[in-house]
Amino acid sequence: MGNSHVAVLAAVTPDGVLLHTLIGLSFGLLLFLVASGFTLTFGLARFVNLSHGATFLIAAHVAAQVDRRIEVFALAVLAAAVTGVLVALAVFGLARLRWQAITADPTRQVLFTFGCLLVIADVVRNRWDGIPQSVLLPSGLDGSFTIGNATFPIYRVFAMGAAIAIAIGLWWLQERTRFGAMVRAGADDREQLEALGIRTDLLFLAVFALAGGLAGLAGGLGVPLLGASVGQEFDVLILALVAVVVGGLGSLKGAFIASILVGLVDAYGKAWLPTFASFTIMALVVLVLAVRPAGLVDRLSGAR
Amino acid sequence: MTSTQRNRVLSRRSLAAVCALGLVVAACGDGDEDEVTDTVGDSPAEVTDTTADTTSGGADSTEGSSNGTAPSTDATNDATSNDSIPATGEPVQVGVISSYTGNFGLYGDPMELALTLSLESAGTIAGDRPIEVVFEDDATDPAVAVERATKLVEDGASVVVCCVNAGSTFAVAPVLAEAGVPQITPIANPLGLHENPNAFVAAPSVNYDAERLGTYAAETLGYNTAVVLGMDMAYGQAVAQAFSDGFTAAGGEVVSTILPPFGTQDFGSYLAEIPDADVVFGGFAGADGIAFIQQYDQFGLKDRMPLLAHGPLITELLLQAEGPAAIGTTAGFYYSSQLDNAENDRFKAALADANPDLPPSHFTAGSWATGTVLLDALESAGTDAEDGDVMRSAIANTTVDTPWGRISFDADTGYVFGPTYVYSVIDDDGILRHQIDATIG
Repeated sequence: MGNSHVAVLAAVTPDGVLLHTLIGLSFGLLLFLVASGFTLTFGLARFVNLSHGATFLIAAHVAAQVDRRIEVFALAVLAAAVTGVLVALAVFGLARLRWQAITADPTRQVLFTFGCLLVIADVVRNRWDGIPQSVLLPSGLDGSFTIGNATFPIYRVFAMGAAIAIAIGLWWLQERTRFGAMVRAGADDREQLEALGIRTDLLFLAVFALAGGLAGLAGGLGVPLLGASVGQEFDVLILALVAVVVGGLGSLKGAFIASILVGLVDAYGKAWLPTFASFTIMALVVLVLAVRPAGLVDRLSGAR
Repeated sequence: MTSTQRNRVLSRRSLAAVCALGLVVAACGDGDEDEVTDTVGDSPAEVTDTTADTTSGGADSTEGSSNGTAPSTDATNDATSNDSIPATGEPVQVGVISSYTGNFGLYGDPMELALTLSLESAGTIAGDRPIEVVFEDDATDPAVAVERATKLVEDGASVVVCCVNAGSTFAVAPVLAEAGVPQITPIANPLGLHENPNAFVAAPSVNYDAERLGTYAAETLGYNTAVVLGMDMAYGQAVAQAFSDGFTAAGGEVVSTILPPFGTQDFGSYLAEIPDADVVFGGFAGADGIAFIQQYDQFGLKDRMPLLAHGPLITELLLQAEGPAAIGTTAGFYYSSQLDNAENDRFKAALADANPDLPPSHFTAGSWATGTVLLDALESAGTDAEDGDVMRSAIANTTVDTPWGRISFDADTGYVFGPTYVYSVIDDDGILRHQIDATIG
């Protein structure tokens, strides 16, 4: 169209920079919740779980439904987390029926979990008639505050806080607990771990549940930001994959850094190149992989 | 006898879901999935939905498919309840292409219901010919729509109702023109169909309402500057451009135009770039619309600048999902359920009777009106309904009452012209609804 142009982009003024940075951080931290589950499952079980995007989708819908029914947002988020755990366990349970066959070949994992994604998404489409859902925020979280000329929603600050708290919890779990030690050991050398008498099947179960719970939490916390609508399963999955690949497969730290990077690139990309928003993110992938083919944090080859 | 034939074809995505289901079933050890192939004929089975339901697992589905299953059963009941009306003629075929899956999948079932109800109100009989309707799913994909249209023509459809998605509507038009089969589009679409004399749109073009709203915003509402946003696809580009044209022609100035990609979920960065102006126009629909209107509120813009829109942003179908963020938004459009006329009352009563949870909107009102046009045109075409030229002039000469007043098709363009209603969202005792503010022409 181009019948007029903004003389100065808000993204280059001090207020604008702060605002865009906050927008990018809030989106990136939310993305981390999805990417962390994905990367955990991959790191431990070498299992590519593409149904992760659909887990987010169904959890977001459940959160919206619960919020509309009982009007307690905290319970809505909790319900989303529980939904995430249940869906992930269902996928794990199905995979378990033919575990050897499915895990033997990455193509089969991709086909199997992508199939699960489509099935879950169709269940959601059917259950909610494809009508996008949203939540009503409780008072206190529904306002906004101003920074200079810019206005920022309070809820996004809350969501950032929640995501950071979860990220710290994950770090603690992985670095300071026996469970985390087992997960790290399993990722590095599963046979050795099994030889020590650790039951890796239970470990897998726990990691799948944790990953599902994280995707569910992301869905619940994300509804006020993004809404819940069919089609999200792919958008979220692709962004999570980007964060995981850029961050380095299997690395939580990498996923954290990459998620925030993706959020920031997305925010500034939208400001500077409004109609090429998805291009800027993919440009990031190309750039990072050209310089560091294994991602920012190369966990798999041992060089951290 | 009358029958509503259903031939819901599996969309590509559902097909993929079926393949996945096949994988799952294979993993479980029993692999008989033959039931999920096309069913042709009188069986009202929800083919696509069944596949999803069998896998629903943890999801509770107590009220899930109420929209979807209602029309089929009604249609078959109706076949027996209208024996008193003589239907001695040969059945006449009507093809419908709608979106049951994909981005616009939410519109398919409600629109099928409204069209079916409209035809049923006349016993699904035109003159003495029973009407057979075949519903097809284009999966919001123009390529699939073309394929479906070709099939409908081969199967002998006298007229094809198509589509929800502007891309599909435009892709199908040349195919039907080539075959000499008239096309009726049930909802507002961008301008451009007038190049096909066979195409009719039972609504004003989206450009028409948006441009008049632009003029109204500058002349009557007195806004001098505007920021124009629209989703970057045919619909959003058309309304953004039309609003800008109307606004600038009436002396207003568009200070910025922003076109976020179709499917944007986080509008934060776009909203942060909106400069100060008297008013903001938002050309969004569907899930993008919900996200946009909510974030417009969250980022404090609602308190700074009023939001104007084209109808779909505050359609009653999505209004409750949008919540209080939508209150105060003003739209210019040809339909609102609040319009006061007898045909609108008749439509709303029939819809409420069939599905009380489904709010009336231009999607269903348009399908209802399309049914009325079909009844009228098929009756006047009579035994010559299969003749494309006869059918086309029958539709062109139709004048019928619709939920937004009496309409006839413009001879030059095939679109319908009429008043543009300006309405705002208000909170009526906890229920959000439209309130008509003004009528343009």
